[in-house]
Amino acid sequence: MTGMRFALFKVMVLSLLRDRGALAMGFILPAVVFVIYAVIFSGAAGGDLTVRLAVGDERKSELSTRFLDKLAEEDGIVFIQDAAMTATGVESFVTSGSADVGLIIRSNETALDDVESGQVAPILVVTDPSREISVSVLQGALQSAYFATFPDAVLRSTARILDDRFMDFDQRQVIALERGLAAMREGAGDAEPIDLGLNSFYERSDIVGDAEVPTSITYYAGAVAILFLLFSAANGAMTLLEEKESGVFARLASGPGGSGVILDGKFAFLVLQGFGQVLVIYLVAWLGFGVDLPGNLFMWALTTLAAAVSTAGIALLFVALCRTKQQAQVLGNILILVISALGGSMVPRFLMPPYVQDIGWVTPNTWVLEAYASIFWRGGGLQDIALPLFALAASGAIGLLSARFAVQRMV
Amino acid sequence: MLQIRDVSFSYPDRDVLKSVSLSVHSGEILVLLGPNGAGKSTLAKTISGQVRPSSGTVRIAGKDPASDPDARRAAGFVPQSIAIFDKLTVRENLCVFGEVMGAEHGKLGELADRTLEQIGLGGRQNDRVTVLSGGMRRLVNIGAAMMHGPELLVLDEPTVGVDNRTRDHLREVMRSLRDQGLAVLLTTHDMEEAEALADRISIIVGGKIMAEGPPHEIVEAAFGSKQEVRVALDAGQLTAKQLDAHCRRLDIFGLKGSQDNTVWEGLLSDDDGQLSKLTLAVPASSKGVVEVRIRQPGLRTLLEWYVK
Repeated sequence: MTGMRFALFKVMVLSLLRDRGALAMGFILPAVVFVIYAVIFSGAAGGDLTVRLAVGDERKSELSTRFLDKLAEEDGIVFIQDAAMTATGVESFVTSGSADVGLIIRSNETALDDVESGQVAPILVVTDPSREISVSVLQGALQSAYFATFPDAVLRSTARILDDRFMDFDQRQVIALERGLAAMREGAGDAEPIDLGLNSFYERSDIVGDAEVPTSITYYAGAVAILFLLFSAANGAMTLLEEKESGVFARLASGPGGSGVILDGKFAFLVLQGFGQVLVIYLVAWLGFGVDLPGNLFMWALTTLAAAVSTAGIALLFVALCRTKQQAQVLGNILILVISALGGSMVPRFLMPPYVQDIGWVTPNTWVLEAYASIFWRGGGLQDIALPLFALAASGAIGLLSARFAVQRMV
Repeated sequence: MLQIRDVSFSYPDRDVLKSVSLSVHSGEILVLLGPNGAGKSTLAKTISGQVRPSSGTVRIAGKDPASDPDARRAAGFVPQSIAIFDKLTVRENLCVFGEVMGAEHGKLGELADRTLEQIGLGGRQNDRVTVLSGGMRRLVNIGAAMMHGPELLVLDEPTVGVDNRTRDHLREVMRSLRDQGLAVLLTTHDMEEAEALADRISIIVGGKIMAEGPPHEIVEAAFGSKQEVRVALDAGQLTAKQLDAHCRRLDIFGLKGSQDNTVWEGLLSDDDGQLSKLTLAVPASSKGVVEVRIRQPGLRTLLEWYVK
């Protein structure tokens, strides 16, 4: 019986190798789609977020120029600036999406280095609510540039509070303070930055196993892999219906091994094909984006094998329950897109409402993504992926056994 | 080699096989002859184990093909459609079907060489089957069932849609297999094919075996010394009165007339002088008689007789 299974496995391999379209769909397209996702999301959600800032300076004073020069040095800020840029121009850049956020230095009486000198804020930030993250990035950059450009203004405000609430500075102290603040203003940019203690207030600890790679890239490697695993498994399993329509299936089923060996041969092929397909995606993720595949090879291989087993079994059962290839194609595409959307292949699961995340557990996508997340984000061990492995392998085995039963009616 | 006893099979709305019994022995070709829808393909599927009979037994080399893999290994099945893998070459197809049917992996090369020689496609063995003609693909279809060296070969309408040259070649292949000792069961609705190949014929109509035996014997058993008579009249040359007179004479001999009473057919024997009397009563030379044809009945007549 092993020879019979191998013969049918070989048919599938030869048929794939002789079908350039299927080869491209199976091994090139998934990698291309992954690269597109990786390029898009590595910029948007990793550590390299860049904010395009439209800048209008209505004052064009020495102070406003110094402030904007400091702001331009901040990480993650790219200026879209024109000497003649007006407030209307800034708003138009933000409205059209050419800029993520806008900044206007107003020509009013409020001094940049003394915000209490007027009633209206000297700076107007023009925002698009759908790009809230850009506003947050700009706020941080504004604070940093403000401290760097006007260190004296910060201390003057502090001294004023101390003078008003806690102590009365005498004349000598006031003169010394003014002298010091004036020297500080003169030397701003050259002097050591003032440490207000914020940097010592907290430490940062990343939960991600490999801090060098944005989580979105490792996430989408798995997300794209399981999505295309489902598509390629369904397409491969559909050869059952092609063979039924051509009479090949009935002929093979009349052999000593019956219809069972046909299913087994196809199952073995789909598992191997799926493993190879995911391997290509992760090789691209490793070589192109630094995902640590070699460092997690064993656990990755186990997870990928289990994912391929699951999709192969489910696809064979689905096709065995269909009557025609056309029916399988239409229903298959709908089902795969729905379970992939629910399972997290299209939108990250952590962005979903809790009840949708719960529904995701009935899809192989979620189990696969959880297993890959354990490996590549959380640096988990075998015990952390045991449950996903079991769920995937069990679904594949149940799928295959049920398909073997269901396929008998195809004869 | 093949024993079928009282096999019946029904769909919810109709009976397809009704207590069918037949046997095929080694070194003979049994032709299962019947019109479309007679149950030939269903019987072939019953033999291959694809259809489980409602009642009765099927045995190949004494074993039940529905439950015993050895029984299925002993047989080769050639379906009516060309059921081979399009993306594989001729040789690859033979090897795959050979292995699936139980041929030893180590002997596949040798078996493929032998089969290629038998079907006459040695020169095209490395061509993909998609580039072959329809007739050649039919040959591969048959070769795929021969690879594992079956003792029984079941062919379901194997020559449908092939040209005369390929059909003659296919017939030679089948005779050669018979001569090598294979039991061959061939289903067809083609009378000429049946007469050309059959050692024995089973006529199946409406799921029931109507006659079985060597071709000439079943015809003789059915018709004895009766001859097939056909009389054609030209109504344009006859008055209504003359036509009516002819019809009354022909009716007396038991011939059946067409709707317009211009063609009359039937079976008459000369043992009782009826045939001679007819030729005297309606001579071929008389006015308005286009044809008086008398000939030995054949399989076509027999099959039409059973269908009617």
